Amino acid sequence: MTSPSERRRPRWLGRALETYFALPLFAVLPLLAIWVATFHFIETERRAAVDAAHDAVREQLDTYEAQVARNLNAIDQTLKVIKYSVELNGTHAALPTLRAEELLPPGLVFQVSVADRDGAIVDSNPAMPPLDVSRTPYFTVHANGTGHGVFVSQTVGDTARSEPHLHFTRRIEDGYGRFAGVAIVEVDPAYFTSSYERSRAGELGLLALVGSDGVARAMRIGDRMSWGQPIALDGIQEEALAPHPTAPDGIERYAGARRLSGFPLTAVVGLADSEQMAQYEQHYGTYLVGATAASSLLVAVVAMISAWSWQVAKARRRERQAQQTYAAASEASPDAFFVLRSVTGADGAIVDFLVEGSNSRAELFTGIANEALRGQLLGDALPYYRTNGMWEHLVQVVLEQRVIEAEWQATSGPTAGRWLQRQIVPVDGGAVAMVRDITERKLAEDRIRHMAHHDELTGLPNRSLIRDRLDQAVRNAQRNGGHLALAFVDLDGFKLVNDGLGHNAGDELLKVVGCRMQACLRRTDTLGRLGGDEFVILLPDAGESPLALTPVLEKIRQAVTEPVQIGDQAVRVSCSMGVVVYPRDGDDPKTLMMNADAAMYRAKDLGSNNFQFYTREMNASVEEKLVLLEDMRRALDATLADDACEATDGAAPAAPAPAGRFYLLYQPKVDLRTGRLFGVEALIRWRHPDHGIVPPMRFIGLAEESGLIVGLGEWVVRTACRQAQLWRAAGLDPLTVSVNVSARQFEEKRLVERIAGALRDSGLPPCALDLEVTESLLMRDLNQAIERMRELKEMGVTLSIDDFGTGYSSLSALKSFPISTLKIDKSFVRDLASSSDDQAIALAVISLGHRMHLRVIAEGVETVEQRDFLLANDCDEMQGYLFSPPVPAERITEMLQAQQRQPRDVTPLGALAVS
Amino acid sequence: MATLQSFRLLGTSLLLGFLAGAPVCAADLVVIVSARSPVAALRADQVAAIFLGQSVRFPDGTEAVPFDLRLGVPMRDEFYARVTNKTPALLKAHWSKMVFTGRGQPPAELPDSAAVRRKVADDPEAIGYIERSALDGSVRAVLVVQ
Repeated sequence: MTSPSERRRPRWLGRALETYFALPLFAVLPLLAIWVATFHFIETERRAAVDAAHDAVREQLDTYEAQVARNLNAIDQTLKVIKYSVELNGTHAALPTLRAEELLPPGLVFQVSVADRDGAIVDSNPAMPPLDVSRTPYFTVHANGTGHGVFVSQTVGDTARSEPHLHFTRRIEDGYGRFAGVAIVEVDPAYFTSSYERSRAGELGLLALVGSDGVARAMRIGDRMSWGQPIALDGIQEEALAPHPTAPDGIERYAGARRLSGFPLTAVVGLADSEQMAQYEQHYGTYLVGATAASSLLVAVVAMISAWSWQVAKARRRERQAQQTYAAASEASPDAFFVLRSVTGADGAIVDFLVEGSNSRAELFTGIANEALRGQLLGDALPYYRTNGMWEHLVQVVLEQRVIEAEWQATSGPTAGRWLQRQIVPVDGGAVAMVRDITERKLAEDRIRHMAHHDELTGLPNRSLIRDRLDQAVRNAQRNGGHLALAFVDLDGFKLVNDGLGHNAGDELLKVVGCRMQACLRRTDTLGRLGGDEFVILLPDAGESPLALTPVLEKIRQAVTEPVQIGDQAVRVSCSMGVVVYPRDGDDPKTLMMNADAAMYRAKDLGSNNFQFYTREMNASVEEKLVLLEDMRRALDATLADDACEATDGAAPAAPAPAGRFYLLYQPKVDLRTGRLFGVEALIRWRHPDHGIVPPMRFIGLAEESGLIVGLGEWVVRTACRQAQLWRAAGLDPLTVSVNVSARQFEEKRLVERIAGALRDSGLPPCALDLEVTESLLMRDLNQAIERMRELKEMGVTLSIDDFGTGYSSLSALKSFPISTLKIDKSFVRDLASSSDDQAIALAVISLGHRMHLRVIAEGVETVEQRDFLLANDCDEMQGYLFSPPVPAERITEMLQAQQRQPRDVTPLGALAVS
Repeated sequence: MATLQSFRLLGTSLLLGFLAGAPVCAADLVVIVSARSPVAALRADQVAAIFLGQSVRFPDGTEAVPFDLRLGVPMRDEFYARVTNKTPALLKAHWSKMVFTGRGQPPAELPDSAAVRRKVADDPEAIGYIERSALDGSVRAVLVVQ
């Protein structure tokens, strides 16, 4: 976090004050200082060197001047002494006298000689051969002049010695003041520069003795002696600040010249600039090198520091970025972050944790602001962390350096009641705890779990949960030696409601029925929905005796049959229940369920709206059913194959089918008034080689359940049509043949097609075919049924309602059916003689039918009384054992033939009947 | 220091050996002092210093007054060549500087060995050089010039 003052500072200034930027800038100062100082020192030294050169020149000039002066004086003195000696002792004895007195200068250095007035050397020391010097300037000047001064010659060689010498001469006069000769002192010019010392003048120093004529008498530069050059003396100034080139080599020198008093000579001293400044130059070089080194070092150090500082700044920037990123991430995170540092006690064990940082979500979780939380001990701020397991986990994380996750439900603080998940990660010196609110997830998990185990519509436990509970209950019962009961509940007539009133109505019905059933059960009982309209009830801790269950089962049954209000309609359904008891009816869940299922089917078979306790036989019936069904299939196949053979071969097949064969019997229908046979009802029979004749009651239901009825039904229609056509073709009285059509067949889409096909293939006129449909069938799917019936009616086929009065139908629906005949159910006919109610019903049906322009036929007429009643009451037709039971086709043929022989108007009914 | 001593010893013994009785060259030179001089022996470099005016005293502190033979005498040149390793030109230059700068004067010259011997014998401060054959009891040889 930047402090306010830092924020105010403009960014460029901030950058500027960064070390890596500021330091180089500031480093310029010492760098400048180094160089300024260096140049200052150099300049100082230069000036010092120059001054020193000046001083050296002056000093050496002083010394040289003194030396030259002294020597010149000595030479002059010698000349004077020689002159005196000559004047005193004569020319020949002059020198020896002096020699004896040791007044002669060392012969090694000086050559003294005396010349007479003619220029002949008369004596010399050291000895020399005689010589004539009369023409030499140093002689002539005295000979011809009268000067009493010293003559200093130029440095010239002479005949005696080839090497040049300097001659100093004085005039000798005789007693009369006449020229008497010359006293000569000769010396090597090198003498006058012999004081040259390399240590003081260097290699290029100049030492010269210049005559007033501007010609050098002796010059020494380094080791080289020279003489005779013209030297411009006026150019040489002692106090000249700058060196100037000095003859003869033109080297720049600091030079000075002093005129020697008393002699026409000037002493010149020069010191080479290069040599005098050599040390300075060296120092200059050294200074520069030193300054460069220091600068480089400074630059290097500054560069290193700057680079390091820049790295640090970069790292700091990166760190700041990371921190910002972290802060942003942690703020945005749905988790609460706590950065904790472990606090150890005196013994080194962890005693508490210090909160170093937290994010905004942590504020929400703890109810404490971040600033307030920071720096606090966790034990002070959130004391409950010691009791909810967090403390132990924190310590464990720090000690074992691993990650720990846990879920818990908070009991205190702002998050009380919420489910939380914590993840604690070890970090250096402490740990980071991340807490997430997982309540939603938990709820979702619960929901999903609930959904996985419960039916969505009703909220009841679903198959898997039921199964689980059943397993559990069985285990418990096994352990405790107790009992449990299991009931499968199937709603009867549910399909009716679902198809009739819509799926929403069906759903509503299920919910209501479910609620009702639940209300009958105890808390420990489980009601579940297996699917569709199937429910299951688990009753753990049921008593051993089934009788103990009967009350609750009856209660449930009644509850289900109560009318249910769906929208503006009241609907009623019932249920079929199959009940099993553990351990009697099975010792494992699977067996129990299977047997409960079997019991339920039995309940259904027995007419629904009841409950059945499982008996061992029920299983058998299931197995039997399956076998029967299989046999039926095979029988049908065999029957169809036979028909095909017959059709092609025209002969009956030889081998009997192993599963038997279906065949049709026909029951005659007789007109009550005429007593004539006008039609037959085709009834299916099954001859099983093992079981014999299998009653239709047994196999028709099974056929309908399995859907075999479609194929079977079609065979029936075809066979009946064919047979009827055969009778017609035989010229017998035309009969209508009635065929029972089941609900299942009616539901089948291609029913009309099949019937049309059968008519077509047989050639039977459609009006000869009559379809008998049961009342209840029609009610199941009214709209479709009416549609199909219309189509059939249009084809010419007639329709009759079978078992009229036994089913549930509405009279208004009746008028919309395109039917032609009503069949009074046998149950009403049976007690016609005795029951006035039945009589009334029969009468009502007859009346109703007639008024609706329908024919009425009575089924199951077995007694004369019944027949008489019916006849008396205007019933049209009858069918029953009184006339004939169902008989094979041949018998019908016989009847028809017999009928044909009879006159039309008289028919003793009994004549035709054959028992 | 021990090596110096041994060298000295060697030198002295050699000198004595030479003096003792090996057959001698006629050109052999010896450096002499007065028999009355306390100086017993001198090294060549000490002799050179005295004769070049660089030192005015003997090692023991007594004053030393060198005497040369006359300029041009071969024995003189040979002496200087052997003892100081200087040619006459170099000697001249040396003395020019010495005289010019006033640091000293060349040794006084004497005509011959006999004069030198006489002079040296008379003056305990004198030092000179003669040929070996000119040695006598009035002077002591302090160095045999190699």
